[in-house]
Amino acid sequence: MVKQTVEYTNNISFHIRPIGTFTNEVKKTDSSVTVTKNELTVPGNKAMQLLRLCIVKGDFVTIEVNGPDEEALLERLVKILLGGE
Amino acid sequence: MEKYIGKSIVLGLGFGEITKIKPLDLKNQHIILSDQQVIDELAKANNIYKYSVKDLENEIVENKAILNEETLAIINGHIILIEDEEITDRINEIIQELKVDFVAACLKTQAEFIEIFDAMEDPYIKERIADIKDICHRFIKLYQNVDSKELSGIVLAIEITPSDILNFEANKVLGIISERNTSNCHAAILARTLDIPFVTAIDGIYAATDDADLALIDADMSSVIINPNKVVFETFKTKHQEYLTSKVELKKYIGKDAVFKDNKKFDVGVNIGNLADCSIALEVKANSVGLFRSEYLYMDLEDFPSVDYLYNKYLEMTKDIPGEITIRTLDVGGDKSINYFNIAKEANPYLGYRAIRYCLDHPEVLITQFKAILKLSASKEVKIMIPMITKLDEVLDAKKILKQSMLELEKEKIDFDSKIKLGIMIETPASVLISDILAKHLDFFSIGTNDLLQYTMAADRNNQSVEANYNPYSQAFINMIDITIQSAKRHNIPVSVCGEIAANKDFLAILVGLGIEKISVTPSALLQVKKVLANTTFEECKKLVDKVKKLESEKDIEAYVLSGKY
Repeated sequence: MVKQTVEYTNNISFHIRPIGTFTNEVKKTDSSVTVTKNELTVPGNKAMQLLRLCIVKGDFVTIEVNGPDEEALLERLVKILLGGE
Repeated sequence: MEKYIGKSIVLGLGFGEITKIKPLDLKNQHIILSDQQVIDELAKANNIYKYSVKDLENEIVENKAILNEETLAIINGHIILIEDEEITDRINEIIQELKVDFVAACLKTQAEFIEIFDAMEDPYIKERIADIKDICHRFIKLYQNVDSKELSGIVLAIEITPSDILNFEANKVLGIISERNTSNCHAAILARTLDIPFVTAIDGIYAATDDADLALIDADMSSVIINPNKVVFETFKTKHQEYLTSKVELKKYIGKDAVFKDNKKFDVGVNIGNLADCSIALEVKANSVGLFRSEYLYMDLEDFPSVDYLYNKYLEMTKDIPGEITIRTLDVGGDKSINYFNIAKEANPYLGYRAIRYCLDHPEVLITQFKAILKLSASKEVKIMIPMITKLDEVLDAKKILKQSMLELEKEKIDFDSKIKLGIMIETPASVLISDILAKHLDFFSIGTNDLLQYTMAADRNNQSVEANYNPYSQAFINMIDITIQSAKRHNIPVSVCGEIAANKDFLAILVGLGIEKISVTPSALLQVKKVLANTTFEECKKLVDKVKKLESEKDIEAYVLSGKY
């Protein structure tokens, strides 16, 4: 299991488009992913639940990955989260 | 013949026969199902979900040519949310548990999600309410098997949905009328992309109108005329023809810098205060905001807003503006009253307890605004502008409060631009007469011509009996502007004009000739102003002003300027 906590720094909240990219990335793999903000944890393949986390600038978010390609997947997911198109 | 006034969502003119879109039957019938019916209903529901995704994917393919990044993102967002299954699972769960029909389950699910999202502070996430509504309506439409005929002419609906617009026959829909849509709803975004004139907020028009009635839409005037008489129709047709001609011409100014005939640059921003302004600003690709009226943010509320509420509103409303944003602090009082401010009724509200006078007595109200604006300055180029200044002490007091707001933010560890520019509206004769003093303490002036004219001429701008006195071609008013510009130049600070007069093509020449280098106009006038500038030179305007300064009578000045012979 690997995990990383990052500060969300985009002005625009983590919204539906990057969330779609995020969940699609998770669905492509066999790893299980969770996303945690303020002690609230949701599955990384659920767009609506990620949306409901309401990740906005200044939030600290933890991504946890468990599975065969966990290192590389975590790296990609952090990038999507912070990329914030 | 019936005439209606509504709110414009997309500007322009159009006319044609009406096609009415039958509204969905959203009456919650709440039919209780038998066990077998529950199984059938679930099977039907699952087909609808599958079909919806296919339908959306088809819409992307069919409308490829007209969808831009923003509209594509909306449709893709819907696909993501349907495939995510949280909405659809909840609908199925309700059918199973409560044994109700699909429509009732959709409406209950929609209400539940709206409640969740409505409680969120972030404006972008809050907007997902629109997606959830769109998705549930799409489901219900499929369930009720509403005939999705191809639409043409003038489309009339109670509330138009994105899927209605995606069903428009290409280039055959000439206008949209609805009873309730908002200027930033997804349907509005699509209509804007397709450039279809759109007027909403006309109560009762759906029931009062029949298919094939003739409708004239003038979204520039926010008006709709149904079954016009011959004279009105002929006049409209002429105006429509002119509109089509000028539309092609004005389009070339979208997103372009404002320049004179001799290529000298000029700065033109827009004035905004509500979402309708923002949507038009986006349509004409405004680059900067010269006047952001804060008071409208207060008008929809029951109580004073928080820093975060204001900040989110400022952020949301300026997200499409790449350049500088000048935010005016609250101009409450005068003709704008807000209940929870408890400002007593006054005999002369324009000469009363308004704007900075109120704010300095209620520093907590000013601090909230300053903090919200400062917070925005961390990510955008922002300036603060204070209205209704009549003496230096008001500026100095406001500066102290600004300093205090900065200290509070520092304590809260919130980023902001500590060198934020502070300026004032020049809108009282008092501020003009001491502009030399004020300029030493400020970073910029912006002349608010509406109020400056009424205060200079002592003529109520809303009183028709003194309309003739409210005349900008008065030597007194032109002098007021001149004095302000001279003071600003002496102290090397910029001066702009943000009143409505700047959009008047004749008076604009006077402003330019006097030395104004920046104006801000209502978004719908932006392209027209760029066109006027492109057909004139600074030297011509200068010549005009030299001559105007020699004329003594208001009538002579007006006649000379309007003759255009300079």
